[in-house]
Amino acid sequence: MTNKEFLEKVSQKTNLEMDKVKDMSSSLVGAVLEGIAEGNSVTIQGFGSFEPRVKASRRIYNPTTKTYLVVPEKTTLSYKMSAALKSQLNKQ
Amino acid sequence: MNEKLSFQNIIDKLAQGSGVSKKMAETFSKAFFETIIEVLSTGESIKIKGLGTFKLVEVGDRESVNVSTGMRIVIPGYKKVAFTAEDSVVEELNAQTESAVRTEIIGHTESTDGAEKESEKSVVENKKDAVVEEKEVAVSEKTPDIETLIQVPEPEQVEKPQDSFAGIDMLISTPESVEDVRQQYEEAKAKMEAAVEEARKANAEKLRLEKLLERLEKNVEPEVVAQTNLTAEVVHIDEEDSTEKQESPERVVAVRNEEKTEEEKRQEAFNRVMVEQPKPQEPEPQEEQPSKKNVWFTILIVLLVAVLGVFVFLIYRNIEAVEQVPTTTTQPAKPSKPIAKPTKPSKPSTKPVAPKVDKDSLAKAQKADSIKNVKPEKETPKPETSKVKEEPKPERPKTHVMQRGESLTRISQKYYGTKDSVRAILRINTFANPDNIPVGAVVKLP
Repeated sequence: MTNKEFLEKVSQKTNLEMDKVKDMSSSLVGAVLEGIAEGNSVTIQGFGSFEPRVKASRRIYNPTTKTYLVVPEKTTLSYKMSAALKSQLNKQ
Repeated sequence: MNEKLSFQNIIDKLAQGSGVSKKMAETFSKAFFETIIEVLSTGESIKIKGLGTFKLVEVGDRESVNVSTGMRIVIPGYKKVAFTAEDSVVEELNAQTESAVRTEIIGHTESTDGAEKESEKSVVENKKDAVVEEKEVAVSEKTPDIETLIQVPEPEQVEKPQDSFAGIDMLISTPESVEDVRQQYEEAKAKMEAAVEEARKANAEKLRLEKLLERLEKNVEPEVVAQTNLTAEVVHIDEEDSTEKQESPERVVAVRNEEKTEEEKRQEAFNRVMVEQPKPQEPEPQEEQPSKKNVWFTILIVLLVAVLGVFVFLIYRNIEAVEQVPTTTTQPAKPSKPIAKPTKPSKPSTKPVAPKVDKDSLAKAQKADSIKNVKPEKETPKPETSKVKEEPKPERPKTHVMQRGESLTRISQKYYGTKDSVRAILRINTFANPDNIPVGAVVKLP
């Protein structure tokens, strides 16, 4: 499902205008990301938690050039679903 | 940093950011996430702009082992929500850290501890600042060096020649320095002359020692004397040279002395060994040591060969003994005295090789007893012994020459390991009297 379809659904649910939903959606995502960017983990009850994960730097070997390269460490956003969501999804 | 933001915190932020009431923010957020769950429940993936994609993934059943009981158990599969962050998000998260990371790599201060590499903006800023400060420090450290270099280039240039001519303190440009240098030169000259004098003395001493050496070596090896004369000439030439070479004659003298003592030692060794010594080695000082070593080395080799010979002899005798178990009981009984009774096994054994072996081993044993017998043919026994070792294996020659005290039964026992082969021997041979075969008769062997 695309973002647009999703937002339509949300607007139906909240009885809000599409523009408003768009606005708030981006604000919400922004709020979550802001928290992540500060190094915090964001837990949303009943949904899951977002957490910045640091992938350690590693050495890779290029066999054609026979050189080692250092891949610098990288931060990614990881998500783990909550236990409640898991049980809800696996109910059937 | 490293805090756990709850749903409430997010709602507060949202309310602040978008300027809506908290209640509104809460209802919206709840609806937002509920919708996500709803969509996911249908099995559809969902893409949220600026965040990433949520996807429902099924995890299959898998087997595992209960560690405590060792039982195999099946972990049931389940559905889970997989999330892939949008590239823009990752970029944003790394954009702040990347600069810091890069500088750290350059500075080799990169730490593997992930906790230190948080994406927090303030930290990054701090790091940036730190890097800048470091750079500034580096620059400030460098500049004085450069300044000093620029300011005082002359003394450094002067210092370099000082290093090359040790002990000469001077400033080349000034007139005083010329005098200094002259002084230094005078001193050096004096030193050199003194050294030459020393060398001359040393040479005189050397010549005296050489004469001694000559006398000592005359009866032993005239080559050495010739060599010493040669070296003397060389030394003479050396003497004429500057002080730099003064050491060489002295060294030669010292070596000569060593040589002399070694020569004496060798003569003693000759007297003691009383064996023809291979031609004395080159009188070159370098090769004196090996020659002495060689004597010991040869002795050692002879010893080793002797021991090996005895060993091989013992092995051979054992083999023979096994073959002749019933008839010759005395042989295996006394294996501890191989040298004392070397003739015993040779007597009953009818093999053509046996006596030879005994001789060899006897000779070796004698060698072992008298180590002083240094013979040049010490290497030759080795191949013989190896041959002897191999020969018992082929076994069973076509014919056998009867010897005193032998019977057909014994022959059978020897070649076939059983008395029963007597009939087979009788079958292909014609004897006047099988019970009394004359000595020297040729018996064909089947």
